[in-house]
Amino acid sequence: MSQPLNFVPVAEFRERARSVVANPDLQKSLRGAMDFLQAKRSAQFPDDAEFQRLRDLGEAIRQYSLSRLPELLEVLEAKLTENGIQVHWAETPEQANTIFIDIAQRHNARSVIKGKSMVSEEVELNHALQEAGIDALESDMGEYIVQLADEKPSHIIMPAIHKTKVEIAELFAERIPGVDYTDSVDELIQIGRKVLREKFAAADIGVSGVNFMVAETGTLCLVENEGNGRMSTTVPRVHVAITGIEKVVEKLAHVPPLLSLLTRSATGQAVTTYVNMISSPRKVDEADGPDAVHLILLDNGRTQAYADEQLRSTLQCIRCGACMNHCPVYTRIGGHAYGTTYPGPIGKIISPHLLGLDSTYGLATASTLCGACAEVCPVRIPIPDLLIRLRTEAYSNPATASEAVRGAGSAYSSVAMALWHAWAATYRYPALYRLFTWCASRFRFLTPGKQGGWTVNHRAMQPARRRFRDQLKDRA
Amino acid sequence: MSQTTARDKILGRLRAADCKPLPLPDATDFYAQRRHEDLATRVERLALNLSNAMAEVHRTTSSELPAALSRVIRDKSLSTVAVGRDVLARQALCDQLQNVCALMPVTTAHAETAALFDRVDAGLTLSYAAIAETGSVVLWCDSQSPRLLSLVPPVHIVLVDVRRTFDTLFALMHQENWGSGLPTNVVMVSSPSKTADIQQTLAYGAHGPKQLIVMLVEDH
Ligand code: SF4
Repeated sequence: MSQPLNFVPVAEFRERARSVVANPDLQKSLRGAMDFLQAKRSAQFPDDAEFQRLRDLGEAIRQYSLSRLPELLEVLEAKLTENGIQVHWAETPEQANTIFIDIAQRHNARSVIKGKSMVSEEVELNHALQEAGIDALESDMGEYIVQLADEKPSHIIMPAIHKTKVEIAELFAERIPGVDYTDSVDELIQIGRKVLREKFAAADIGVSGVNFMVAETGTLCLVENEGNGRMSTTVPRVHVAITGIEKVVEKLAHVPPLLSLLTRSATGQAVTTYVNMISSPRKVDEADGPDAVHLILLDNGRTQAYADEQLRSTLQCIRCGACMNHCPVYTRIGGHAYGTTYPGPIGKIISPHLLGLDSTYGLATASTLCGACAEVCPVRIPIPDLLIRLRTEAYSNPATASEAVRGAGSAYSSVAMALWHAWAATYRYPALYRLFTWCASRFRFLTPGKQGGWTVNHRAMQPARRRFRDQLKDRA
Repeated sequence: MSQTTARDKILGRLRAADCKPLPLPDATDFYAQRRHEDLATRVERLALNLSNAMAEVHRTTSSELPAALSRVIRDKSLSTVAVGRDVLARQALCDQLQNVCALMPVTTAHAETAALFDRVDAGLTLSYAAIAETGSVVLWCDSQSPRLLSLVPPVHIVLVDVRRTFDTLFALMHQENWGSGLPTNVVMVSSPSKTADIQQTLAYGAHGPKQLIVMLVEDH
C-alpha cells in the first residue's frame, strides 16, 4: 500500500477544503459524527466545577512534566532500561524508521501488526517498512479500514470518521477476498476481527503508540477499546512502542487525572475498555508477553516548540481530539483537507514545528479565532493565542524574524507590508486620514468589482458617497 | 554511534531552553474533595457500572462460587477453559470445574498461544482489585496470571473479591503504593471488547472477548 511521503501538499489546503464544503454527503456525515462526539463528551462533564478543578490539575501536571522534561526523560530511560525495556532516541522521522527497521532486521521480522499510533503515522512508518520489504498491517478497526482504502486517518481518535457504513461495506466486499457485501456493522466488525486475528497470531513484531510514560516506575500506559492494542503488545515476540518525547509524567499518581480527562474528552467514556500498563518484557517464569520491548522516543520538531516559553504549551497536549470535534473549521472541512498527520486545531499548532512554517502557515490563518478549542481543551492549551503567534511569525520580515519557528517569515510580502504601513500611517495622522477618505468617496467609481475572496460570497464593497464626518456635519 | 548523539542532541536542546521547574502537583487534594463511599455502596456502583457496560455480573459467595461458576460454564457450553497458576492453586475450585469443562493450564512460555486462538472457549482469571467509579476490574499480570487469558478467548470470566473494591484508580494506586513498582503488566478491564469505528455504531467483540463475565464474590 504505497503512500506518498508527507501526505498531500499542505499548500493545496484551500482547494481541498473547498471541495469538502461543496460535498453535501460529506457535510452531513461530518456533522453527524461531530454532534455525536460533542454530545458524548458533554454528558461526561455534568459538574462543571469539578471539571474545572480536574482541568486545573491536568494542566498543572502537564506543565510540571514539561518544566522538568530533560530530567524526567533521563529518569524514564534509566527506569525502563532497568526493567528490561530498550530505549532509542530519534531526532527525525528518518532516524525513527531506521531504528525500527534495524530492530526488525535483528529479529528477522517479516511482518508487523500495528496498534493505533499517530506518531507512527507522523514518521510514515508503514511506507518505510514497505520499502524495506516488511509487511505492516493496521489492526485498529478504523486504521484497518483506512489502510484498506489506501487513505490516511482523518481524525486522531476515530481514523475512519469520514467514511459511511455503506462505503466501508463496499470496501470490504471489494478488497477482502471471499467477503460478500454486508452493511451490518456487527458483521463488518466480525469480518475485520477474523482477518486480523490470523495476523496477530503470525506477526513477528507488534507496534503501539503510548498515551503516558511514567518515569518513576518505567511504565508505558495505553488506552483503547478494541483489544488490538493489547494484542499488538502481547502476542508477537517483539513489541516496539513509538511516541513523542513530551508524553512523560513523573509520578504514577499523575496518570489517573490525565486518563480521566483523556477518555472523557475524547470519546465521552468514563474509561476505555482497556487501560494497559506495560512495565517490562516477559519475565522468565511468565507464560506470555513479548520477549523484547523497545521504545522509540521521537523529537521531530518538539524541541523547537519546547525552546520557546509560549510555544511550549503546544506540548501539553494529550491528543484527545476534543479541539477538532468542536472546531467550526474542522467540522466542515474534515481531517484530510489539512494534509497533515494531525488535523484540526492541534494540527495547526503542532504541524509548523514538525514540517516548518513555510509549508503550514496557511493552517494558522484558517481560523476565526472563535476559541471553541481552548474552551474544551482538557489541559487548557491557549490554542488561539498560539495561532496568533504563529501568524505573527509567518508574516514577519525574514530579515528580522525570530528563530523560534523554522520557516518564520515565509509568508512575508513587501507589498503587503508596505500597504499595512500606509494603512497604519493613515490612521496615525488625522490630515492623512481626511485626505484618504476624501479621495475614497470622490473616486469611489474606481473600486474594483472583484475583491478577492470577499466577492466570492458577497457583493463588492464600495466607499460611501459622502463620508461619515460630512454626513454628521450636515446634521449639526 | 548515532544513537548516543541523537539522545544527547535532544536532551541538549531541551536543557538549553533552561526551563524553571514548577512545583510538583499533588492529585491528592482533588481526590480528597470527592465523595467517599462505604464498601457496600462501592460494590453496588461497581456492579451497576459493569452491567451498564454490557458485562455479565453474577453475585455469589466463596462457598457457592464453585457451583455458580460451574453453572455459568455449563450454560454457555464452554468446554475448554484456560487458566493460569493463580487459578490452578485453588485446588478445590479446579476439582469442581473439571466436572463441567476441561481446564487448560497456561504456564509455559508461549506454549499455548496457538491453542488460545483456536480451541479455547474461555479464559478464567482472578482479579487484583476493582474500581467502583469506572466499573473496572484490575488484572495484575505476572508469573501467576498470564495476559492472554483475558484477551484472546471469546469469553473472559473474572473472579472479584469485592472487599478489594476501591473508589477510584487513584485511591487504589495510592493505598497500594504502586509508585514503588509494577509487575510486567497491569490491565484495567471495564467491558467486553468494543468499537465504534464504523459510523459511530457500537459493536462488541472487536478484537478481544465478546463476553465479559464478572463473578463478584461477597462474604458477609
Ligand atoms: S490540544 Fe487539547 S483538545 Fe486538542 S487534542 Fe490536544 S489536549 Fe485535546
